[in-house]
Amino acid sequence: MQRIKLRKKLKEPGGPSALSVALSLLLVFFMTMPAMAQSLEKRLNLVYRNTTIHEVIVDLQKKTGVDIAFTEKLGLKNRKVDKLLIKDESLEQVLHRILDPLEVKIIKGTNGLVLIKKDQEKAPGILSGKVLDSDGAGIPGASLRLKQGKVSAVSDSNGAFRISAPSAQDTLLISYLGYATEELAINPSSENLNIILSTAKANTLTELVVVGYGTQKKANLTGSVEVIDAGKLKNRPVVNVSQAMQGTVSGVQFNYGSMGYEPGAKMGIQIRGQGSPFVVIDGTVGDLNDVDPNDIESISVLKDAAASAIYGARAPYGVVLITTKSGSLGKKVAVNFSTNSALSTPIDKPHTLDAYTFVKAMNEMHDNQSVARLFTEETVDRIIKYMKDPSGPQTIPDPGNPKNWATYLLSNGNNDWMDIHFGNGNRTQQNLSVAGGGDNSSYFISAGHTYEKGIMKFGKDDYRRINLNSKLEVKLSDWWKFSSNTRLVQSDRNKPGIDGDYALALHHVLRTHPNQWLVSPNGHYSNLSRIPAMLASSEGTTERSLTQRFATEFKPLKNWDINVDYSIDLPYTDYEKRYLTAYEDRVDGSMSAIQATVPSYITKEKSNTFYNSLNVYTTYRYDLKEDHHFSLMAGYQQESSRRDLLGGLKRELIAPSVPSMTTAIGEMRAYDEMSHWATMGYFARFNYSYRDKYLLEINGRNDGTSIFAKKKRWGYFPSLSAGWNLHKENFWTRVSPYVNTMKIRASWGRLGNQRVAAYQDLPLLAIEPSLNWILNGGRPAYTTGPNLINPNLTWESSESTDLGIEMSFLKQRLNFVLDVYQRMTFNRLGPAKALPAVLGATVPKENNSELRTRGWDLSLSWKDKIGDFSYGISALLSDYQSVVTKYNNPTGILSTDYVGKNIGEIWGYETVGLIRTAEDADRINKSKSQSFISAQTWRTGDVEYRDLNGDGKVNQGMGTLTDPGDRRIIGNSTPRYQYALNLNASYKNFDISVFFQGIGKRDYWLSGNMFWGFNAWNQTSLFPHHLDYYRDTEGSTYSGLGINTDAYYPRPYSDNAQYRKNQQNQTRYLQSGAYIRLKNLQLGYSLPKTWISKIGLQKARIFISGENLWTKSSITKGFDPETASLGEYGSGKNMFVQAVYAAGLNVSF
Amino acid sequence: MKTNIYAYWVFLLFTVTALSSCKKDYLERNPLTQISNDEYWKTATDLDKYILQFYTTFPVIESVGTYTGLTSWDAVRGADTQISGTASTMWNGARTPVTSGGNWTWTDIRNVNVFFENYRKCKDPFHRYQQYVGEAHFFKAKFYFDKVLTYGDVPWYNKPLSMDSEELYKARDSRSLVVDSILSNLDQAVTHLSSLKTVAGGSNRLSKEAALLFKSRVALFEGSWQKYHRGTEFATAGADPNKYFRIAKQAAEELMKPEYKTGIYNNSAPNEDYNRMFSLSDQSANPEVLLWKKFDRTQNLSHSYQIYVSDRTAGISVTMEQIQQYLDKTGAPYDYLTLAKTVKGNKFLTKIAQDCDPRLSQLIWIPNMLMWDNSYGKGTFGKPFLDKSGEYLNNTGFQIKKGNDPKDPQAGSGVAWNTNSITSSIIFRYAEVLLNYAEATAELGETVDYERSINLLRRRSGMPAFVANTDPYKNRYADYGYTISNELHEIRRERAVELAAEGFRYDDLRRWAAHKLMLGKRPKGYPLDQSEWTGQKINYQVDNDGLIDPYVKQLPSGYQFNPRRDYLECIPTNEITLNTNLKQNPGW
Repeated sequence: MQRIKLRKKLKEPGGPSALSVALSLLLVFFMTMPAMAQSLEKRLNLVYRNTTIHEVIVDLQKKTGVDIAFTEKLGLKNRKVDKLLIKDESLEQVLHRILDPLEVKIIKGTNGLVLIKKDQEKAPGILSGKVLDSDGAGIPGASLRLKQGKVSAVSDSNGAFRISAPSAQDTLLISYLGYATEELAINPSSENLNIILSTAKANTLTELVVVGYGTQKKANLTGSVEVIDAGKLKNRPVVNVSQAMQGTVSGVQFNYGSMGYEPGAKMGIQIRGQGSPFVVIDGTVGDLNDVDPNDIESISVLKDAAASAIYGARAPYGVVLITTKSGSLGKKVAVNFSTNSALSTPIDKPHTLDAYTFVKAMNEMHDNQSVARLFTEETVDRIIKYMKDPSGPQTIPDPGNPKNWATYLLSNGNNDWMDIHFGNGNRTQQNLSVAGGGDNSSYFISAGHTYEKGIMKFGKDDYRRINLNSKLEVKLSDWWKFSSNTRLVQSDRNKPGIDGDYALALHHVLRTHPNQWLVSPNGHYSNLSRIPAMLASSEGTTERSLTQRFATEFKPLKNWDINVDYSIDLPYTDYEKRYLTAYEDRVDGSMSAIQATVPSYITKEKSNTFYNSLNVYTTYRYDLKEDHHFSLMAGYQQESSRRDLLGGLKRELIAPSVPSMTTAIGEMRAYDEMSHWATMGYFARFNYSYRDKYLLEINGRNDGTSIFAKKKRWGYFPSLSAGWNLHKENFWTRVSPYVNTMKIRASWGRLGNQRVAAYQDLPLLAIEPSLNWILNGGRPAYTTGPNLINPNLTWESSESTDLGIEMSFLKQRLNFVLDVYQRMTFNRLGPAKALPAVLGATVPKENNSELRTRGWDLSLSWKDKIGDFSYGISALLSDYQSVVTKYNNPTGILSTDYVGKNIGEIWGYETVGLIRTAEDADRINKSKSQSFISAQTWRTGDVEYRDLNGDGKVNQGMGTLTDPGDRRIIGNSTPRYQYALNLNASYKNFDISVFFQGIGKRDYWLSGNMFWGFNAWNQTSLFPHHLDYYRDTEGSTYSGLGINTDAYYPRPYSDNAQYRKNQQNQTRYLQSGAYIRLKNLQLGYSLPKTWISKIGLQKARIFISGENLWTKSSITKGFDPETASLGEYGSGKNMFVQAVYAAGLNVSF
Repeated sequence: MKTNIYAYWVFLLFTVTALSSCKKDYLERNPLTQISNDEYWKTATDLDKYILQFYTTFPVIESVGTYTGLTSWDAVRGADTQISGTASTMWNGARTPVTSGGNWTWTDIRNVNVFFENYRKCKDPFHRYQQYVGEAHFFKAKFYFDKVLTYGDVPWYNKPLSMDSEELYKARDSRSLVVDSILSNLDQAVTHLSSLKTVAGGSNRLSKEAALLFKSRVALFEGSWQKYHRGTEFATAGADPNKYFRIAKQAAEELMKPEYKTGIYNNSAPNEDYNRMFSLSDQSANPEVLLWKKFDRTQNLSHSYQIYVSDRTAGISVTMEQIQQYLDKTGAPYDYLTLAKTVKGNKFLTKIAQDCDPRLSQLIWIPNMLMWDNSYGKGTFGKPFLDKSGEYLNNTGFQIKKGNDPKDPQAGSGVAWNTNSITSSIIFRYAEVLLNYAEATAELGETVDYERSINLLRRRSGMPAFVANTDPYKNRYADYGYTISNELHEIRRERAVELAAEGFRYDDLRRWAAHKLMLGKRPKGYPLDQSEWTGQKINYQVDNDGLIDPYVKQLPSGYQFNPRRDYLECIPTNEITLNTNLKQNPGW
């Protein structure tokens, strides 16, 4: 049956090739060469009456199982046979008997027989060769077809093929699932062809795209789904998938966590400005960053509600589907190895001021404040002396306490703490994989290792990950397949344990004064250098996850599939902090414990999770004649998870070399945390396509979750989408030379969001372990007041509409995709209606507001090949904005949301400038126009704010929308116009790719000492650019840097009551976060085959690759546009952005 | 198609397995580590654990002021007796309206009302949880008193509000009504709380004694407020100050009865006892302390007090205004300013320490005093830290010592971030009751029994008995802008001396409407002796009396307190926007 269908397709030129590709793949499984030889020899005994030769051959084919290819041109349908008697004859004999008189020649092909007209056979060429993948491994089961000759063949288990070419001049089409179809012109001299299929499939509409619970032809997609080419993620010296994905998908935002570019930094992902997407790895929920980028076959990003609706409430913010590589049946063993090593170095690392300039600036700040100078003349003199002769001591015995070294204000060193603490890091990655398959089973096994050492010079600061992945697929019979997938990933993150907190370590280092001594005259590091504590203490987190998935697929009937899969995920986290006593020296050379590190302690936390999920779903396809294709999928899912954390702390370690709870003798504490949840869902999808021209898809999912109260637990989430392939219409033929393909699609869908904290419907009392109060010798446990609850809490839901247009031009070399979307979030959970504070409790969230997000994603790509030179350009551009459309804020108070608020809005004053003259300052002081901001005296060099509403006072009015006083919206922190540009080219054995990424518009309001430089005396971080502050007095030996009235920064003060007057949110100091960055540049060279084949290699490529090599941004120095606002202790206090220089090697054999 | 029969079987098997596992209550997952309100409140222990949370609301060493807690609280909030490096915004008129926050948080009041709403569910006999009911009454009174101190009139709530309560939008109740309710709560507290002799936890736990003390404090505050603010917008029309003075007196007299466990810390060492009491890490045997907070390094509860009364100053200094309150050793007023014209610097400090009330040299450092004598070596006080800044700064010459113990292992530690001190933090001490008693009685015009009150304090410090002196110098430091009797002057002066640097002055100045003490003036330091600072540059100017004038640049026209506004705080403007029935305080 299947074989007849194949022939039908052969007879009709054109038609969808994906089906034939799929079927020819099946042929390989069912028909092997020895089988055919047997069939040809098999003796036949048959009688035919009143029939045609065509029907005889069709029947013989059925009976022998031998594939016989022929075209209608032979006219066999017209050759009638009254009676044909076959007695103990082989198929070959029979065919010769009936066809020889008709001048039809029989050619033995690789997998069957081909019938051709004798007179056409001018040059009876047999083409042979091999179909290979880009790694040089043979591709079995690839389908080959001659365009004019209408002859087809399939490659064997080694990728070798033979095909008879009836005509000397023809085009050979080679296709295989998942690879781009190749076209090859053949001529009489063609022989021993080696055809390499490329996985780059952006231009083909026949490729299959992984969607929720199945695959779909790209041409038939009606939702907004974007596929990331795995090639773009390869060979990047980045440590995880999220870093590699940045800039590869249009409309997806990536951002760093609060620690910036720390080792192993996982980037947060948001699709279209929403929350983090639901990540499914090979059918199981997982963490994107737990996958080795080398193991990835493809990534599908489901951007609109129609595409992600099948995952219902688990996927309110879109879905990322990762498919890892697999082996395939009958494929020879392919081994791949890749490695790279890299050096990383901070870009734009600021430098600390020299100590003398620093102390003069600090003293000037204190002069401004009319308080005592911070550094005495004696100290300043010592600093000057030390800078002239750095061989002298960096400090003196503390005059008030002569046993100790003087610190802080009395220290006279000259240290660049940025150079002392931050140097270069390094990275290395290896991945080895083995893939292949036999007759009934296939396998893929891989192991990966990733290591990154951070740029901190002291203390541990690194990240290591090991990935082990194995996939096994067994074909038990024609109708039953079974597969097993095991993934193990372990990551280790080590941080210096200073003051118990990595973020604090950064905060401390960034504000250490340059005069602070590094090494005492005795030769020991100072406590304030933070080095002793960094070296003594450490904090390590090991995350381990073992995922096991069993899946099985039945085909009870031809068009009916049933899938059942069961997965278990066992994430395990092991956290250990060793907080050991560190020492610094005293004047007499004795070492004394640094008080903050006493008592030492060890704390451990171990958490186990048991997650399991069951999916049962079934698909039935039905074709009504040739034109109507229906498909129905329905299924059930349940999942549950339970987490159990056990933690403990014990103080006073006896021996630092043996840090354990057993070897500690002090206070002991133990605690646990347990949580569990479950979901259940029923889902269904209906697809209809009319000649692949009109497409319709309906999804629905009924979801239940344990998060909500019993009666609010279930939600129903439908979606509807439709598409129209215009290029399949007859009228398109006139346009098709210019616009090759064009599809319009529209979708609508509703999604729920169950990602809210559990038990918000229950008034709960928190039980806290130890009160900040000692009673009867101990710190008692206590409870706190129950939270206020909202029993009506239910699903937040969103409705998304998406309009998409996909076009290709110029022989499909230019592709264009544009999506325009709107997402309405209803019943939005958010800060509830503002209530008077006398309520005395946090107002529980309510489902009371609405948010509208509108945006568009554009992608444009060009790909061409000129001789040996092939190149491609792809560009992505996207934008969105969110507006609050409903909010219960009748007074329009600005401290919460209000209707019409653009998310990201920054309110602030308009800056007139710095006050330049004493008259201006007098005017402001006399009129008290700025007394709302500060009642302190305003001086020259302070900021003058504009009185926008002309009432003579600069203030916040009622703080409402109708009376905002003199504040207005001065900017918006939402990143706008995010773009990426990827250029790649290859010539012969050389390849290059250049990848730019950036943001078109974004505002930052930065605060704290990293931005302002000056702050309270011990919170000041001065870098050279901060010296551009207002000064109107001459400098002296001990204070001040000389007049600078045309300054950028205002007059500095040391006290919050004073400096806050100049640090109000305002236009003058608003920063632009727009940037363009050369994210990656890669140069590769593939060693010539002739060399490497001698040592048994299929392929070997060496490359160099660089990350963050160049950036253009107008943001103030010391900040990076990607991480400026981050930092647990203030803007910019995160790990510096780094450039990475790597070299690597890919080998396959 | 025969083989497909198996497929059906296998599918059926899977389906049955799948469906059998989807139990009816699959989605029912109750909290595993939290307890719901309905399951709580069953036993006396539940009530105990709930009420404990409020103990951390007392102002103590690590919760208020700078690193020395209560000792620096007055400087941080604003007073004439103590200052920090920068003038307090309370007194310089530089305060600005606030949009949200401040002290207008109502979480504690809500949580204590939750207790009242639920405690009757307790199944244990009442006597098992009576202490906790008493504590709840006490804390409700305390939380409301904090509100009255800050805002005057505030809305009174008897139950936890819900989101749709109409009471959210009610107007403020008059402070008289609120204070009467506070006093009634305190009566309940006195009734239900155990006495110090029996309470489990001793003086680390609230007792009848503590409640009585607090009652006298509240009533004295309200009586003085209504009396001295009478006729202004801050007073309540028709309020009777004497009613509150009487309550204050009665509460204090009750506590002065012998059946209560009270007393004065007196080891017959007049030059040490007063200071030593504040340096103790354990007050459980001290009859004077009615409530205190204990610290213990092995329990990870400690602070940095000792380092800031030895090696550093926490940036806080005592002013000449405080020093002038001290009588000489004979109990007579002392002419500090005349002395300052001739005797300066260290000599001045040494001289006044010799001549005056021993509590003076237990409050501030005098040259050559031992600062620390422990593993950090031995340190003595050379001269005030005038040349230093930040947390080392002293800008008056009067540098705080109160609470220092040279033998304390943490005293003199020059090591940064030292939080290993375990010096106790006194919350209520009996001395205050005696001063409250004397003041309330004097305000009522009744006879004060000094032998049973103030003289107990004087005797500890070796001072003669109380006499209502005519103080020839009182206008220098005690010009309240209105006349008070010599007796009341002396009582207030005694209060300033005994309770110096304990965080009382800020509220005392407000209840006495004492803005005249500071308006247009600047706090002063000691007479500077430039010869002691040759070679060391110090930035201080001196005034006509030769006294350090630390704020001369910051406050050229002196403090600009606004007497028609600054006695009460601004109600956050957002709250007035949200509740239009809420009226703003005067002047804001």
